Amino acid sequence: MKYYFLLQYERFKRFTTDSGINFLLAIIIAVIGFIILSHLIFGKINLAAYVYSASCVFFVNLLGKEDRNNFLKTIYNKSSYRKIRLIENNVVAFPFLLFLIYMQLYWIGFVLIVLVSIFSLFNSVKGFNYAFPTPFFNRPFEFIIGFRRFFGLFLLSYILTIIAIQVENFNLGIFALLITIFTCVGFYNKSETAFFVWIYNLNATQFLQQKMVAALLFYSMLSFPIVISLIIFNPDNWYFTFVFYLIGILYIFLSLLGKYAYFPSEINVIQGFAIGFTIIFPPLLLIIIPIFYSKSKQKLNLFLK
Amino acid sequence: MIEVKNLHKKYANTEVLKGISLEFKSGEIVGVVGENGAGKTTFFKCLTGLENFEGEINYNSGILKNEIGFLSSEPYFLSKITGKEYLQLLCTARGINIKDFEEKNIFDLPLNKYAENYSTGMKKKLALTATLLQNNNIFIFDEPFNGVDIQSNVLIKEVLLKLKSLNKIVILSSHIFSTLTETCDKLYHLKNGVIINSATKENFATIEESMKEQTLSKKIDSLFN
Repeated sequence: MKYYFLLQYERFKRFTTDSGINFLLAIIIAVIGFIILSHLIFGKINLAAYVYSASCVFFVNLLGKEDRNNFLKTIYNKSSYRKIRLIENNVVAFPFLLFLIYMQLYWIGFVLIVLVSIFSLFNSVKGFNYAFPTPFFNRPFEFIIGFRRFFGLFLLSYILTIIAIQVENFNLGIFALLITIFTCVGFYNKSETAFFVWIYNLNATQFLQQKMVAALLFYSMLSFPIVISLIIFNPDNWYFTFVFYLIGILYIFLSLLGKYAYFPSEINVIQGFAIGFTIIFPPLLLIIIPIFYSKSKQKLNLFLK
Repeated sequence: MIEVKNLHKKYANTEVLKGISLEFKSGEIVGVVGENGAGKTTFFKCLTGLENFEGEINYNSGILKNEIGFLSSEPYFLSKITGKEYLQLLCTARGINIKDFEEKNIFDLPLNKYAENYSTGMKKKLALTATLLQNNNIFIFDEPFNGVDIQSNVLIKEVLLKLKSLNKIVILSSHIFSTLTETCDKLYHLKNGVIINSATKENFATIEESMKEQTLSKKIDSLFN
C-alpha cells in the first residue's frame, strides 16, 4: 500500500514536470489558485458552501471509476483496497475541509468528510448505455458526445430558465445560460487521438473552419431556447443576454482552438492558466484566440496536408 | 505506386527505423512481419503521415494521406459514439456520403450501440469496415486478424483478395503467419528497424524458417535451465 501511494506521488510529480513546470512551483501555484478560487466562490455565489461541497464531491467521484477500482481490487486484498479508497477520498477532500474550517463552517465540513468516506465504498455511477439520438446529425463529434454525457446539465439549465421567468429573476436566467456555455466549453477539454484529425481530406484552415462553424451552430441550437426566452421576457435587458451569448461563442472558440493549439498533447498547466486569466479579464480573449488559431494551424499542418 | 526511400525514424536517441527502402504496387498485397517492437507499427505510421520521419515516401497519384485507409492494431474509439456514427464520421471526413450503413454491415455489428462497449474483435471489425467504406486506394492494416473470430477471419481474407482484384495497394502485418501466406504476394521481414529479408509467394517458407531460427535458437532452453 505504501508503494502505491509513493507511485501516486511520483505520477503527480511527473505530470507537473512533463507539463514543463517545476514541481515545487506547481504546488505553490495550485495552493494559491485553490485559495483564490475558494474565496471567489464564497464571495460571488449564493449558497456557496453547497456549491463548494458539490465541487469536492465531483473531484472525489473521479476516483470512483470502475476500471481503476477493478484494477486496484485485482492487486490488493479487500481491506487494503478499502483503506486505499478511504485515504484517497479524504486526501482529495482535505483542502476543501481546511477551507470550510477557515470559513467556520464546521458542520458542513464534518458532513463532507462523512460523505466522501461513504463514497469510498462505491464506484461512481456509470452513465446509461442507451445511445439516444442527438440533434447534431453527423458533424464533428464533440457535440454528439458532450450532449449525451452532460444531457442532465442542459435539462437543468432549461428548468432554471423556466424558473427564472416564473420568479422574474433575470440573473438566474443568465446563470442558466452560463451553465450551457461552460458545458459546451468543456466538450473540447480532451484531445482526440491524431487519427481522428488525420482522416480528414481538408487542410488545417478548412478543418478549423468546419469545427468552428459546427461549434457556433450547435452552441446556438442549445442556447437559443434560453437566449430567446430571456429576450422575450426581459426585453429591457436584451443586450445583456446577447452579450453573454456572444461571450459564450468566444469561450467555445477559445476552448476549441486551445485543444488544437497543443495537439495532440493535452493543454498543459501554463496554457490552462492563460485560459484561466481570460475569465478574470475577458478582453484577453481577443488576444489569445488569434494566437491559439495560428498555433492550431501549425499543429494541424503536421497531420493535414 | 508508393516508393519508400531510406526511411529513418528516431524517438529521442533511439532509432526505430534504420533506412527502409521498399516499393508497393497496385494490385499487390504486401505483408510486413517481425517480432514485437521490430518497428512495423512505426513504419505504418510514417507511411500514413501520423509520424514524421527522415527519408522519402513518394506516391505517383495524388496526396498519399488522403487515399490511405488505416486500420491501427488497437483502434481507438471515442466514447458515447455509436458504431453507425463512427462509420459516418470516418466517411464524411473523406467526403463519402452513405445513407444506409446496415446494408454495408458485413460483420453484422450492432451499429446502434456505443462502439466503446464493443468487444475487441467487434471494434476491429468496425474500424475495418470504416476503412473499406472510405473508398480508399491504399489500405494499411496493422494486425487485422487480431482478436476476430474464425468466421470474420475468413471474411477478412476474402476482403483482402477482393481489394487486390480491384487493383488497390494493400499492406498488412500479422503475427499469424498462415494468414499472410494465404493472402500476400510479397513478404518483408523487419527486425530492429531494418528489412533483413524479403520473399515472393514461392519463397515464403524461407522467411518462416529464418524467423523460427532467429526467434527460437536456444531461448527456450535458457528459460528452463
